[in-house]
Amino acid sequence: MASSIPSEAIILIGVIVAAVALSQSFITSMALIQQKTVSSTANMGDKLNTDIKVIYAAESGTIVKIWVKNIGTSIIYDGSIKDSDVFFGKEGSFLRYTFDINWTFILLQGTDNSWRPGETMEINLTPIIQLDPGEYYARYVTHNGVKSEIFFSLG
Amino acid sequence: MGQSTTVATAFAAAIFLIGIVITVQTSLSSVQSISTTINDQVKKSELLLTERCRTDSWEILDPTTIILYVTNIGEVSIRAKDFYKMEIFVHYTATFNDLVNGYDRFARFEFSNTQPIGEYWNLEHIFFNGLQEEKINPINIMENTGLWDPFETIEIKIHLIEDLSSVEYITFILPTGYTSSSSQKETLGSATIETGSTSVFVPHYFNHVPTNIQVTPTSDVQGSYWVTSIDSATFSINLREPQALPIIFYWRATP
Repeated sequence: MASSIPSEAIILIGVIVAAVALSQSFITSMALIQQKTVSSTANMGDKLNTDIKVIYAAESGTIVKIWVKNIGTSIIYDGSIKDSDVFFGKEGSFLRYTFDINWTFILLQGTDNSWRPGETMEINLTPIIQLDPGEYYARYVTHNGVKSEIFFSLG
Repeated sequence: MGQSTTVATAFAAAIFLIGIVITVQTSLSSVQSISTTINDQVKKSELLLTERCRTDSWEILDPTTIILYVTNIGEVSIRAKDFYKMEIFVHYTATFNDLVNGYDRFARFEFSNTQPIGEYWNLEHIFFNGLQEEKINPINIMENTGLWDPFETIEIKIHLIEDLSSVEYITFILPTGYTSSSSQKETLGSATIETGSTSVFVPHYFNHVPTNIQVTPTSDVQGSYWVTSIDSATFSINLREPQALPIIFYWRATP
């Protein structure tokens, strides 16, 4: 059957083209899923490795000093610290303070711009409220959502 | 039709296999990553649970120096190299009235063994069972090597930049963030009544009258001796008669 050979060839080519298109689409999707999964796992790992503890807070003149220790296993870099959040105020009325406008930080130990495990960071916060005697609350939240807080009082 | 079906089936099988490979690879990679992280977390948690210390007592050596004794009561040794990650906060009453804070002060002290200018703390001695010795892993203070082992007590000197009149609270913080605090305890020291003199005034470093003062002469005293003039800053050690040699008294005051 001479006429079936060209038909056979056309169908074959069509099947191959369709199969290639489908496989390309499938592989691209799988690669994207893989990428997202790896990224998500890496983020989860980063968050698990990050831990901090507010160890002390006290008034110093017109500013409030808050000391935070890196008790995790990962290094937190200078750039990530600038993405972190500080909350301060009396219970029930605390506010979020903006880095560089209301608070700055100093890495106290070490010689580079890395906040290494075991090292302490000093936050100097300029309150936008009057520091009356009473109980205050301070919370520090890292760039990836790990938080620690402290209650302290001023006399 | 047969060839097309074969080709199509072959492609389908190939796609299926590739999908399985990618899925398995991704899963293995994720599990490995999480497993490593969990392992690190377990080690960190172990350290958090087993690293402990206790601030025992302190004495005021002079108006700018406090001696503090801290014992490792945990289950793990702490490396001398990690002393720079430990800090001390001291709340004290200064002798100088700062117009902003009055006499109340707090300060943070970092470790240093190079005697810098400013506020710092350094390691003076290590004790084990009350004796100045180390059974294992000796610490070399100058080289900053060795281990602070469980049950060893370290004698720390805290250096201030201004004179204090009393200490209210001392907080010692380990690299894991473990905090040990100590409030006002008894103070102790020594005072000398010089030859020919019959009394000496001694500062006790509380800001109130102590409840108890004990004094012990370190050599033979002719006649009696007693304590008088106890106020919120000092007390006096007195002798019935002047002595031929200076007499050193050890004293202890209880808040």
